[in-house]
Amino acid sequence: MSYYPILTAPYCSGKTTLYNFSPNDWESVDKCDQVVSLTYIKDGLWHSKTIEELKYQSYKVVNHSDIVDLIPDGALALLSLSKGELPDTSKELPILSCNHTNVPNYRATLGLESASTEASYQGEIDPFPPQASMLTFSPFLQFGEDIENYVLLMNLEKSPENKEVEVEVYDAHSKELMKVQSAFSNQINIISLDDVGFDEQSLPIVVCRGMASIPLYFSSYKRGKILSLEHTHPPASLVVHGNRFGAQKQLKDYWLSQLKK
Amino acid sequence: MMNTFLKKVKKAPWVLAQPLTKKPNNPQLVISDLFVWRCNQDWNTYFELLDLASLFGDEGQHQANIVFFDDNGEHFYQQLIELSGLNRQVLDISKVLSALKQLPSDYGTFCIFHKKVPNSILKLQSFIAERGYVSYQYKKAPLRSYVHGNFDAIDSTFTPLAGSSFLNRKYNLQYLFSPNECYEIALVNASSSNKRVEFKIVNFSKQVQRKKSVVIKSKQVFLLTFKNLPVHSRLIVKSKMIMARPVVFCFDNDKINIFHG
Repeated sequence: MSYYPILTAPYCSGKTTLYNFSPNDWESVDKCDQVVSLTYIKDGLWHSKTIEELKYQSYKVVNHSDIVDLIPDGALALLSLSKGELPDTSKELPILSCNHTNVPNYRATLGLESASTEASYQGEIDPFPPQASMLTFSPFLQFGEDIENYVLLMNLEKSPENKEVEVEVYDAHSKELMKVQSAFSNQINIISLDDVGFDEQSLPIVVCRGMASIPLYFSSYKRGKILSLEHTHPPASLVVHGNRFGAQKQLKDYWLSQLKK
Repeated sequence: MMNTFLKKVKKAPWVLAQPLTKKPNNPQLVISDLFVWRCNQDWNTYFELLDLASLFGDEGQHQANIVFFDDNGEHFYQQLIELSGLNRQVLDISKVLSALKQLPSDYGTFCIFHKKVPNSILKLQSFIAERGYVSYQYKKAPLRSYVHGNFDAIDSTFTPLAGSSFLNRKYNLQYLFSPNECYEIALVNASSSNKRVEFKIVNFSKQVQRKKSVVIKSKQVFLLTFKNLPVHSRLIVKSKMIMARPVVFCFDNDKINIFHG
């Protein structure tokens, strides 16, 4: 039941492209038209609006400018494909009746567009459990004149609230706390990594003990003239087979105990 | 219940004895993705080499072996690298390859095998896997474009791990190719046998815009280049690869957007 957010980042506008065709020809899906919906939080409820019916075998590009007047300022804009219309309002994030595959998952193109160029990745987001946490090693900082680096923490939870949590940024080698910043659930939280004192030898670790999220790393040259965008993997991806999530737990327990505020 | 049963029966020819990836037969082995390297006057490639054993709390000096294959999938160079512990270590691939008088090609694949396997990972019956982050610099641009690894492609005896399908299957890339831009599609064969692959670029009226059939050898990467599409289109990759997920290089003059399909 994946949602497809419209991204936001400095100097850029989000652009998300949805596809109503399966990513493979051997996992069974319904070959049907689907409803494109926009979902967002307003007044403590999830609100959903139908954007259009998307024909089977076609695509839909949604720019941030297309929906900005439909949602409250700063709200996370979530797009979705489903076989029926979503409820106008709900107390929990609507469960989508939609096609699903595993090899690979259905994805959208999540893009950021500046006046000069664009960057994108193939992605989706599913709601995280509210008690989850996040730990990410972040070797994506780029250095040089006119280069800016940000981590964009993208969270989605079922409850229609923007709970406040703390994000801690550490240096892996010294284990020194370099920065603390507030972040919110059901948001794309933009955190600068340039004011922290990292250099080319620093391996940043970004930790959030109160919320899981997808960490996107975004770099910009000359206020959007060139862009770079990629996400990191969850720690479980450092191993394969066996008890992968045991390895993830071990890694998170180790680092969360080592990194003290 | 009958519906679920029928779905399983229908899926059986696609999944029985056809794993996405195979497990190495020796628990001491380590795994890597097969990353794409590009080095010439326009391109350089970098790799974010994390010391995975140190991340799991193993102290001491660790090493990793970087192994290169040429544009035919033939092994031509390897080097043992001393790791930097919990500091960031960026491998400049052109510098690593500068030990050679001449490169056999200006692109190919490479993999990274960590020498140290933490005991805790062995106990979990898991394998350390390097599926980290490559970045590409095009025409000496001030920003590099990052793309993550995602596949357990090869083990440290150089045995490819990707499974093979009995039947041809299609990978329908959920991405919109634009008429104004140039593209290169990089597809790696991480299986142990040659794979016949058909690339088809089709528009949304199902008309074929471009078509190319090739045989990709084991460990080889094939680069499909196209531009000047008359209309927006999509890519279908037909082969006996279980998941023919390419890396997409999108060019907008001298600017690049690179991502996993």
